Amino acid sequence: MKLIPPARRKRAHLSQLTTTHFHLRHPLVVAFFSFSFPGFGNLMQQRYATAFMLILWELFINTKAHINTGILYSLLGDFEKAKAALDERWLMFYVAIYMYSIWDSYRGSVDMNKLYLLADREDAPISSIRMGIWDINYLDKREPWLALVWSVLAPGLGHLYVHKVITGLFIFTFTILVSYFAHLPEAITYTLTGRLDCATKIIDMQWALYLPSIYSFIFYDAYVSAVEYNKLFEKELAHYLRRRFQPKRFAWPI
Amino acid sequence: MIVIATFESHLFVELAISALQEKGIAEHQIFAVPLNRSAEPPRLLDTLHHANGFSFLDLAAILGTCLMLLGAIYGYVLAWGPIIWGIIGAVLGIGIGILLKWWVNRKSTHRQSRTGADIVLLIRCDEQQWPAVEQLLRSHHALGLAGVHDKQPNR
Repeated sequence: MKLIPPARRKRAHLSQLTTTHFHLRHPLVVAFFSFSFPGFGNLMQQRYATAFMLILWELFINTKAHINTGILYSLLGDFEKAKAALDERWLMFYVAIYMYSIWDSYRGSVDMNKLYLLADREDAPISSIRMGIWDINYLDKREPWLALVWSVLAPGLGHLYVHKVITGLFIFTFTILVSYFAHLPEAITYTLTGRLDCATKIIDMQWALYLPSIYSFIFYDAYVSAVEYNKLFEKELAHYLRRRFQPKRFAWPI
Repeated sequence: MIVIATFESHLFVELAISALQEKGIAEHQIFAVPLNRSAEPPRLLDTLHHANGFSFLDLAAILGTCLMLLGAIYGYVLAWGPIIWGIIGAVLGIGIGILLKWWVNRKSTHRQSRTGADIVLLIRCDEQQWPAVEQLLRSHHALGLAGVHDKQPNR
């Protein structure tokens, strides 16, 4: 006997390492995160293959073409230094893929919002637990603020808490790598001990400028995931109760 | 008699139901009514969505990113360096974002408290089961609970 009948559109898919699901997103917000770091919009949408491809490409091409250094000097008004920093040989490859990532995350969100509504109206059953050799994933209520605080304390932990293990693992590695190459730990130490000129000297701005986008994205995504997974849990529970515990034989008092 | 209990949407509801069944309450004696949230947006507004409940961080994250970036850049040439100015930018951006959202949301009465009764449970049972059922439901975090007797005795 098949316990879960086939659905035209699934609302969610539980796997061991993550719960992939549709929920409503503001396309402009998703586009913004792709604008601040190409691939992050797709990462929000849990389209991991595309997201990792775009994110790693961005890291590679930006570092090669010195885009961040160019942005730094341009915003400081030192246009000669900006021009000298940018590497023409790599710069050309940057543009189309950057624009694509923004466009794709906007377009994808608009489509996925429609798919969400259709899936939600279809109200197909969702499985609520998935076990395997790597991990146990189950729908449950999680505190959004806790996801936020863990993310602020150490990138990736909020995602592990809401059981987005793939995102968590990636962010963990990625952020530590970027922080290391930016010489962030030394810069923080110098800053805290009052040697501010040393901090400015040691920090590598080409790498450090990746961090604002990464950091804000992480706490936002962890928080939103907790909220949306809670909604998913409620929908699954309500669906189950409606299907299983509304017997026709129930003896009503009237 | 009939027992009526309300619950928050939580795993405790399923635990309570399965515990009742272990106590001998049959499946056809249990009726569950999940309530629909009135605050949920069920419609397609244009193609843009402000899904309720989380959007208040949208602006905070966006402004946080922008101001942190600007803080780090201009901090590079300022006395305090990129770290402190980056943090100042982030805190300022997030703060402004949350305040703005809060100020906008304050005007709309749309936001409701998240906690509350999501699920109503009706249980048909015998009079002598009532104390055990009541104790069980209370220990499973029922929000509210009442027993309605079928007919008043000696009347």
